Amino acid sequence: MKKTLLFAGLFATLGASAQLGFNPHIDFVNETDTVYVPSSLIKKQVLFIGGTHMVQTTDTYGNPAGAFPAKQWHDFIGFTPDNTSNDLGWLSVNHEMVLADDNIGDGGGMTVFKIKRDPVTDSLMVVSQTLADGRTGEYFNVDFANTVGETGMNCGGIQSSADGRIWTAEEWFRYGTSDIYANGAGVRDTADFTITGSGIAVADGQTVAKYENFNYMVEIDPKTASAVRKQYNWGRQPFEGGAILPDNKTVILGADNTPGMLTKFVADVAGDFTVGKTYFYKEDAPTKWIELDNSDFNKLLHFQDEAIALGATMFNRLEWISYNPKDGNVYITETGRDNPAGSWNDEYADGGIFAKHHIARANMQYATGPDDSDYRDYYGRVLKLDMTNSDISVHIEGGPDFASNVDPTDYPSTHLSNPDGLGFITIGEKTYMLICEDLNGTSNGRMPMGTSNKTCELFMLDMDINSPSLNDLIRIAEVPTGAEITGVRGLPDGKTILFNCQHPSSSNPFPYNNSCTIALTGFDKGFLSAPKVDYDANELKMYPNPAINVVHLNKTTDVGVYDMNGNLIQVLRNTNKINVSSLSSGTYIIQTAEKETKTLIVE
Amino acid sequence: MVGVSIQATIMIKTSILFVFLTVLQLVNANTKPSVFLKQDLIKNYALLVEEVNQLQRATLVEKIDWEALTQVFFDSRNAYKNVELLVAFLDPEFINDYINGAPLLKIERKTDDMTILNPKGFQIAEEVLFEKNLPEFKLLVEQLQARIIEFGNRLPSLYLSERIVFEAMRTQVIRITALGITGFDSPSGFNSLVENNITLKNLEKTASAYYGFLNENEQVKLKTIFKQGHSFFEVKEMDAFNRYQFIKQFLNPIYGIILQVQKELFIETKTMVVKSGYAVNYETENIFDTDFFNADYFANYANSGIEEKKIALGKTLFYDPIISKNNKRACASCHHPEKGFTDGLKTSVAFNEIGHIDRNSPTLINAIFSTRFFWDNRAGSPEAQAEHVIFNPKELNTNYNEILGKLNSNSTYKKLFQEAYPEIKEINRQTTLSSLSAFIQSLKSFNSVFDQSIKGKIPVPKDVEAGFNLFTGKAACATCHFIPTFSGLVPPLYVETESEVLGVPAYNDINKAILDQDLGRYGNGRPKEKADFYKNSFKTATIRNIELTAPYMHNGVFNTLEEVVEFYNIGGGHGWGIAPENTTLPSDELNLNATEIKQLIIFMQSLTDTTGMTAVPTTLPTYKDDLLKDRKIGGVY
Repeated sequence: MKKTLLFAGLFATLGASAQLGFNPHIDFVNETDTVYVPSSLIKKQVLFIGGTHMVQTTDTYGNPAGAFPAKQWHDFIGFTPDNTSNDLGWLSVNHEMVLADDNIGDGGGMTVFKIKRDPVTDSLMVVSQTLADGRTGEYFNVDFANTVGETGMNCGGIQSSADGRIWTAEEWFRYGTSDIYANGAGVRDTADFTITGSGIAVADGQTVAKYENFNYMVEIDPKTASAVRKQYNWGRQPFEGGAILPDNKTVILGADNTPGMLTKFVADVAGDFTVGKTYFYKEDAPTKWIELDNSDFNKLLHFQDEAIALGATMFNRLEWISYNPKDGNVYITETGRDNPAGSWNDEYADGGIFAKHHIARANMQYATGPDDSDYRDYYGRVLKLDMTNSDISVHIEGGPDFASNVDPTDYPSTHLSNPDGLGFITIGEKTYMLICEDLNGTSNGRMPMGTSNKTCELFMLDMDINSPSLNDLIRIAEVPTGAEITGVRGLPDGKTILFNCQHPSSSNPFPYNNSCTIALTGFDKGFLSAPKVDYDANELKMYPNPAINVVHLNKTTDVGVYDMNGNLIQVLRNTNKINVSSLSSGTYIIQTAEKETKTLIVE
Repeated sequence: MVGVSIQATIMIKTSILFVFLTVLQLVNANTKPSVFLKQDLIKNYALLVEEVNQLQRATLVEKIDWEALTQVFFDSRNAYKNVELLVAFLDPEFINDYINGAPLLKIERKTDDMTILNPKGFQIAEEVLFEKNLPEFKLLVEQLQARIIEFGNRLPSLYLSERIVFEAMRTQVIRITALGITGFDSPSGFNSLVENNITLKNLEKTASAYYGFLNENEQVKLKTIFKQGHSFFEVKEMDAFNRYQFIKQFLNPIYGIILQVQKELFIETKTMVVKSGYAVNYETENIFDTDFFNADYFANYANSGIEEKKIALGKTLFYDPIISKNNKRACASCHHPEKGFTDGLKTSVAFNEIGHIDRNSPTLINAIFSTRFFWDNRAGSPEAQAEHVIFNPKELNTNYNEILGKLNSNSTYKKLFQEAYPEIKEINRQTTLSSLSAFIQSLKSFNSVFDQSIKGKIPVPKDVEAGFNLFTGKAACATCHFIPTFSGLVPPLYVETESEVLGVPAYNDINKAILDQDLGRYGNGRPKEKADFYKNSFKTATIRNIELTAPYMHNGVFNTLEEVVEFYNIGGGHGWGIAPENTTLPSDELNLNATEIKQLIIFMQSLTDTTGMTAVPTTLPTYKDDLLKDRKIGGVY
């Protein structure tokens, strides 16, 4: 039987070869069945380009103030509203690096600038300013070197939910002075550091090894482009994210480490963060939070060791922390690490306790526990800290995470892996979570199989969905090859989402070969009008969603896109949407595997 | 790669696998080949799982029979090779991390602390097996088993397209060429012939899934060339395998034919689907094509300006000493075109002729095909490389204020920049670097006697063929100097440039053997590379044009190719008794005789090709300024 069929198959195809794809050229016929894609509602602007825009510096290391190319590796973006003028406010951008610089200052750093909105077009404009110290320009370097001491690897940070005050996080935990010196390429002044003027009683007057003056949350004032204090009383930890609640007293802080711990600080007086109590999270304790004596400077310097000894809950690389104004809870990204066992087993032995969701995951994987070398945590997740009872639960789990065989039809078309930056935006009545990916790798479905390049994406998630799944994620941006998407920030007017494209690599066109701060504006203009797709229709139907540059199809099929000359320019397989962002304005023919055609006009 | 000496010869039993290695045909002409191939993959993957389960059980028996255990181990390897084509293409990172990565320590990706990972998978297990280290072997096999099962669980959810199958086939051809037949992934080299035979059969099986869609001529063409490929496996052992002819007669042609078939079947190519850049230019039909790589991929500022004008401008800048503080040194000062863009010195002369810089001047020809630059792998792009030299007080000792000031004061330069960058127009950091980089990107050499012969354009000199077979075989050079760049750019994706620890001596005198104290990559200033295993580690340089680029090694310690080959022949630093603990070169002697050494060198000399690259500009833009008016083309020193 088989042989007969085979023979028939061969016989039928003698002569010309059969085809398994789209003809590279067709005669272009303008179909009457036409779909219009209006020009995108979302406008893109590049606000700040590393290595290109000049920042105004102060007198540093004996070098006079001047204008020098900004550092790269943009990460956190903080927004501080200006309530005294028509300008929107100040943006503070982190530079997640450690690099010697005679003018900007060694280590990492921060750049601040002020923005306003064009009343007609809604686009953002950088405002020229003259600061109190006499510096004039658009972009200003935050002076750390002459004030609180250099910073390093300024990664995440805090934008206070109360008033927009800004802290930058020094991630990159350092264990010795040679670590920060880096053969003269990092921080060159390695003399012991005497802390003065922090206003924190336990710290002022202390002299520490230079490396011990790194790894704090550091407050800055974006209005004067100056540093305020390193927050010694919150402990010395590899901080990444943090949130200050509207009470202007409660601070939630996360450390990017395996194990990473959660810290809380409660100020005695609203707005004064120099005096208060410091706690670490202990899931199995009745009150969940255990105080760590912040009048003992030594304990603050060795915060993790102290907390682990007292049974702190251990997470796997906590990244950003963000306060959701809609439900009053705090959300935390936990990015994961492929094989964490080797990294947290010592701390486990010292008394640390694995977060319960890790124990549950390990059970699912038939590992003896999170300390088992077989325990895997490839994708990470977003956690929810319920502020009413301090319970932590998983809000959305990264994936595609399958412990066992999965039916292809159940395979999610959207993958979320290694969530990092986190924020919220309220558009009209709706609040959305904003999630930045920072892929730890390409394996295990973090990229589609057969794709070896990394592409990081920015997702929105409707917070009205109670138990969201990966298919609820709305992809709104992806960054060029090699780049990580960082620092997402929704502006309070619901119009603009800001993010950084960090360390893009090779062969991207300017300016995307530098770290850039990008603004997407127009989310208030009908973003919510998601199409109602008629999946029951037999014939092909297409639904443009200009906000996210996508045309939805009413079925999953193969699609060939032809230009006006009838030349095949794009092929999509097994898809139910076409991303038109790479198509320039013009007329195209869309052909499906079933040979249905439609004309597509991109405005 | 680390070598393992074989003590015993063990017969590998014929596995039940071979039953499944016959050429398969479609059972139904309406089934898409990719659908059928997916079913076939799942079936064969189940056999791999079965073999690995057996292997794991074999480690648990009370009294270990090492001979039997070795057989069971290679049965598993063979089962892996039978699914490698698709599996290694679909998730290269996973395979590299857990299944078949090099048996070397690695630094964990994307973490803030520096965590060093032990190697996992078949290759390290093979080493440990030959060391008869049972506890370690048991653990490695257990981990391997867990990962193989884990990956298998994801296969049913896989969406396989025809395009992916074709890309996987072509990637597998590169893998066989540059890794398979050179013995890269079998540390003992012991099962190599069997494994390569399996990969070839698997390639044919995959291709044959499309026969039903091809006309008779195409089918005959494919069947004929596969028959040609199989004929090479009639030898008894890998040493007798003619790698040169196998590449010339089978691998290189089939690499092109598969692309032709893909286009014939209207299967879209990667170029149409994937927007982001790739190192390998999918549209070339030849592994030794000048455009086999996308030079753009390796550069930072490749997308602006007009190519030819940028190259011409970059060339002028390359030879103009205006780019140094004292206007006496040009890039060409240390990179003379007639010496393959090196300077013939152990280490180059420093600024103001005060002493020397730290390391030997490397060739710039094909230098672009690298993801890391400098001997210590410190820079990540040709543009960053140029900046290190511009700023270095011992080299050009200048800065952008000075360079841009001088360039901007000259109307000829202004005009050249405006013409090269009609959109940007400016003379700035980006356009200056982009021009220099464009010139470096133009220095591509794939037309040597060797290239021409393996592409079938000229007959191959006998010693070149013999030398190539030694290079890729007995002398084990090609396990680090990979085809086709013959450098440390790692196949099959070519997105990483390796460094190696050889134990290079400080002085060319084996009687006073001292290890060179240069820490290399360990001291390159990248915090994430300050790992002990990178001490004394240096970039694996290209062998192309080596005839012109003496003296050799990062410190120029060896004057002739004979000295270099002799160094390796006695086991490198091991033979000199100075190899540090983290040496990556195997300690084995190569046992090359005088004839073989001569053939190896003749092969290396056949890689010379500087055609069209050596012309020096006859003039430079003129200045009236006293300091600038007498600039010497190519610099004073």
